[in-house]
Amino acid sequence: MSHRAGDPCAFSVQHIEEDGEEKGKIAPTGARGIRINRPAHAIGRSWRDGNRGGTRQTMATLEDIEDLIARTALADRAAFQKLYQLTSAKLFGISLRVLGTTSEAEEAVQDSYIKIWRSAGRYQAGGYSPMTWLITIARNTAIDRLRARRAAGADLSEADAVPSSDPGPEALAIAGSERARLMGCLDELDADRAEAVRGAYLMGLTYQELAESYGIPLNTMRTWLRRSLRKLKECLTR
Amino acid sequence: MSDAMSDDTTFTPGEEDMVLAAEYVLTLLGPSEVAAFEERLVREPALRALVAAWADDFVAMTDNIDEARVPPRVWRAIHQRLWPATGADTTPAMGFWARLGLGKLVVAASVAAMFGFLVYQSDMLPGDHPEFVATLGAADAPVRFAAAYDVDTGELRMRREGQGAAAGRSYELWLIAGDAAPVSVMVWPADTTEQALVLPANLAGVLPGATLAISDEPLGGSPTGQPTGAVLAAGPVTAS
Repeated sequence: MSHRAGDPCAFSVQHIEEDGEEKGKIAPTGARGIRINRPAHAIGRSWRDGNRGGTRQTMATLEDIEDLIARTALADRAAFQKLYQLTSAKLFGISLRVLGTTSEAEEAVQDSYIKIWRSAGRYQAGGYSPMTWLITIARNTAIDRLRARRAAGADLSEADAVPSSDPGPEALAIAGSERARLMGCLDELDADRAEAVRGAYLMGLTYQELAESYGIPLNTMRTWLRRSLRKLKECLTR
Repeated sequence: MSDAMSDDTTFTPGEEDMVLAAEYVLTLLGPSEVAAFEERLVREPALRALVAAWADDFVAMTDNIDEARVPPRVWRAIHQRLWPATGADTTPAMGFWARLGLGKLVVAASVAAMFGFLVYQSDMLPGDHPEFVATLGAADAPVRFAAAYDVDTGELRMRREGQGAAAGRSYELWLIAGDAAPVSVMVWPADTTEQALVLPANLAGVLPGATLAISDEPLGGSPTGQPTGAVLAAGPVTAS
């Protein structure tokens, strides 16, 4: 409980107010609900996982998703259900990847959508693109569960069994430019450091766990990864 | 510039924040670091922008994770949790305030930002289960507030039961933990009966067992950061 994953609803909650005012308005003073410009690439990008599962044809754009979040914030249940229909398979896939078991992933997805319903009104303030916001909630919810399981003494074998996130050539070709950009920049890091970043994001590994797995002192691990993150950002903003 | 950028051990303040934001998104920070960082996030839009940018960057790691078909029972469970059937089974169906015996809820329209963290309009979902509650003021007191805190959402919900502040005066809500000085939680907006807010982590951590108190203050709240007027209502925060 005391070490919950940073949660876009947890902090962005505190930035929103004036929800009744016009959307996207930048408040005049102070730490108000400032809307951060979305990267242009994220706005028009089609949310296109339709063909991958073979059963779904989802043509919703990110603008559609954003609109559904906005309507969910107004307690529009139909919009929330539509949002669920469009995005739950993706969030479930991510929860499954993180947690490894169907039953836990189902519970994590439940928790995620409860959070989404409750915090949709604060979405605007965080400055996230809509799928990033939804996925971050799902990722953090799943990571919280995974960490609780580890803390409860379950061994790491399940987590260790999580398949690597390294994409095959086909997946890489399908993936959007953001993925290619991130992977390109991760590739510029030493392989074990890139793996540590992946381990932190996809497995919720802590500095302590990373240090143990690499057999180096905690402080060294931290210094090491912090430098890598700086280098990563330099590449990403290049 | 290149000196600072290429120096392997020294981080400029800008780099420090940029890396800290990444550690936050990766959930690598410890609880006290998270609390300190989230307090800064409330005040610093530039820091929020760094967090959002990293979240966008890292989320690309999920692009190649396949969708998976969600069993219909998951939606049913979500629906049940958000909108428990009314009527037949009373206990789980009772609303948030109904559980506290406070009757039908009226959602406040007024939303205010106070003291570095912000208050938002509560959606007052039925079926919530606050872990902690407090009653400020006796049942027949003119000034009376009810409070409920939900650990999962971090939400403190407040409802004014009695009269509003006198003309030209404001109510201010304080959190008093042990022997520590009172900490201002919010100035109560005039003409408002319901407020919900997410407590900063440092306050949330000390809420259980603390005392909530309402004081009479000049319009807009205490000018000193400590209560200056009479304490009109107070009560301990207890497990519900």
